[in-house]
Amino acid sequence: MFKLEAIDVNVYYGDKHAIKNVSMAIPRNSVVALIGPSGCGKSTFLRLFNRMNDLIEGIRIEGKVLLDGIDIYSKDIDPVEVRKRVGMVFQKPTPFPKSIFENVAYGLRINNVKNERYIKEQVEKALHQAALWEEVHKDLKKSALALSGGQQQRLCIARALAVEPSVLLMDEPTSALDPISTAKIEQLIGQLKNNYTIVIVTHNMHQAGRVSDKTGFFNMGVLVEYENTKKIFTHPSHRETENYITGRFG
Amino acid sequence: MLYRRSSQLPSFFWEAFIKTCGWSSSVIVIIIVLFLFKEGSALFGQKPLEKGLIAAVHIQNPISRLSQRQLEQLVQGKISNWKEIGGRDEKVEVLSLNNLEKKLKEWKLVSSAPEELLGGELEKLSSFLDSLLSQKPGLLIILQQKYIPQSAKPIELEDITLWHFLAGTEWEPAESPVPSFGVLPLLWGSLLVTIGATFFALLLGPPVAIYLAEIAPVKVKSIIKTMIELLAGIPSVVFGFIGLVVLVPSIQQWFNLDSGSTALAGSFLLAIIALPTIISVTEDAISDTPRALKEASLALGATHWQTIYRVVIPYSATGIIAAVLLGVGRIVGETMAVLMVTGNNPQLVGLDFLSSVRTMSAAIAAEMGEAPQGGLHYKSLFAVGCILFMLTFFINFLGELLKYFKKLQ
Repeated sequence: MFKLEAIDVNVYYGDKHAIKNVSMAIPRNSVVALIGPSGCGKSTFLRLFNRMNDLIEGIRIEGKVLLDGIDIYSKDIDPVEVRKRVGMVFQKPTPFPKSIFENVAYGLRINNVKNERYIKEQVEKALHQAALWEEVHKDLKKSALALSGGQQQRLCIARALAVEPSVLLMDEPTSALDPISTAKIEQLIGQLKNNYTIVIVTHNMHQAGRVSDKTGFFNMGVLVEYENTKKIFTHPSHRETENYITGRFG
Repeated sequence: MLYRRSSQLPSFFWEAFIKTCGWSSSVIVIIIVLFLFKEGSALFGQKPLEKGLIAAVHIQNPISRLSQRQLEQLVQGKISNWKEIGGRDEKVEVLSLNNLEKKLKEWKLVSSAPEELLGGELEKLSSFLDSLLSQKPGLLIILQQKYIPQSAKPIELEDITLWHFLAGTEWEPAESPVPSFGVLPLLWGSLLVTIGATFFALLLGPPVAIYLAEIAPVKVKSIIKTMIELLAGIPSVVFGFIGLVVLVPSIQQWFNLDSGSTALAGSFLLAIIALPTIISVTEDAISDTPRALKEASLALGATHWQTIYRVVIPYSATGIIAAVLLGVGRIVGETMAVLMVTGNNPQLVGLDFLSSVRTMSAAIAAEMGEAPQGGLHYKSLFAVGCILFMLTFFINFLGELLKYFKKLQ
């Protein structure tokens, strides 16, 4: 069974048909990169997996999205519960105006976890996983806003990991970061793969090549090609894909 | 000819016009403030008696100088013997035109009409007082110059001081012959009503704003916003009228009072008047919360409500406080509604919201008509205006300051 599976998904914003009949199966503990030109629907598609699209007014979603075989768009599913299992990291770092510790503990606190010792353990574990512990363990009470951009983004990853999701969605997580911070996060993705299923949207072709097992190429709301990363970057089956990868458009 | 100069004249004209408008409005504001402070400060350095009146005592009375406070206490009977302020052991009797007839009857000097004794136009008053002074050496006479007898000497009065005005606990500006200008009852009236209004406004304003910014569907939001804008457009005298007809009788019944005209009624009305400002500024502050922050919270599995109170409210807290301050700044000087429902009794009442108070603004509005221009009462009202201005300015300044810091974040 696949970890995530989209079956014949269509998304409409009002009259605009944003995702056209897309099906995609994502294996457990793999990294899937979604690439494509701006406005191709890759971010919209990513946000289907944790029902973040629900927040947009006038959106209509058709088709099925399975998480561990269960359709997360069926009527008896609570989107809040889905989001607890499917973590997300955004394009820009979004630390809350709280301390570093409270940022990571946020997910636990909203789940009404009262055991402070457990919270402390989880925060430490998550910061270790996000490769941030060494840098911040002395300043856990300091404001998260004082961290650098790269640290903030890893803090956001730690924050998502602290609630122990099984899937991590990343929406261009390094586009606002410098090369060193980007390298750190890419390295992190490689480690997290062992425990999580990761879907990452990226504008950076090389990044997709470096971090992912499979790559999906979107254009105009259509999933043009979905293949092993190696194959897509060396022998793409579609002309469109080849043109995009080699930088002829996008 | 490269440049066409013909079109430059109109643009020059309009530019000058707009500049003049901008500058003149600032100048007008400055002139108004200067005028206010000039008239208000004129109260200090004045003698605490209405013009033309003189306070006089027996020529052998060792007291030759009185402070405003001593004078007030003498007149009010709080000082009943001259030795209390360093004079001789003589009983104090105060005589002025107001109590002349009463006193004469009290002392059994006249039986019916005092005209026989004093003459139809009081022409014999001066000589009568001469003889009276020899019998009652403790007499304090407060009369016009022409009635002061020869055996009396005028007393030098100290000027009204700023401190006496600020710390005075009695507001009796129309009292004759010695008025009291203590601003404390009025200041406290304003503060009490404002504190109450802030409480009610805090109870209602932010929740409405949160509902509008975060929860309400677009249609409902537009309806409620229209209503609130309508609320902002209602003249305060209409609120006062509704308060007088509906609120005041209700309060009287609920709390079983003699009169429902209380600080509570004023507080409630002012809260309603402040609501539109508070709601719209709070809503702006809440809407300023970055969408990314809210999404980040939701993506962690927070419910909408958890996101509101754990992320949105802490993020916009400064803005919300600024909103409340700006709303309060708007109501501190509010006049008409308060004047109509608070009962207008200038007294120091502590934290008793069920008593009648008079606010600074209400005092100015109600008393300006009866205060002779240029008189002490008139000047004291301007001084009250200065205090009110400074209070409002301070609160608004605080609100704007918070808004500014919010922007820096």
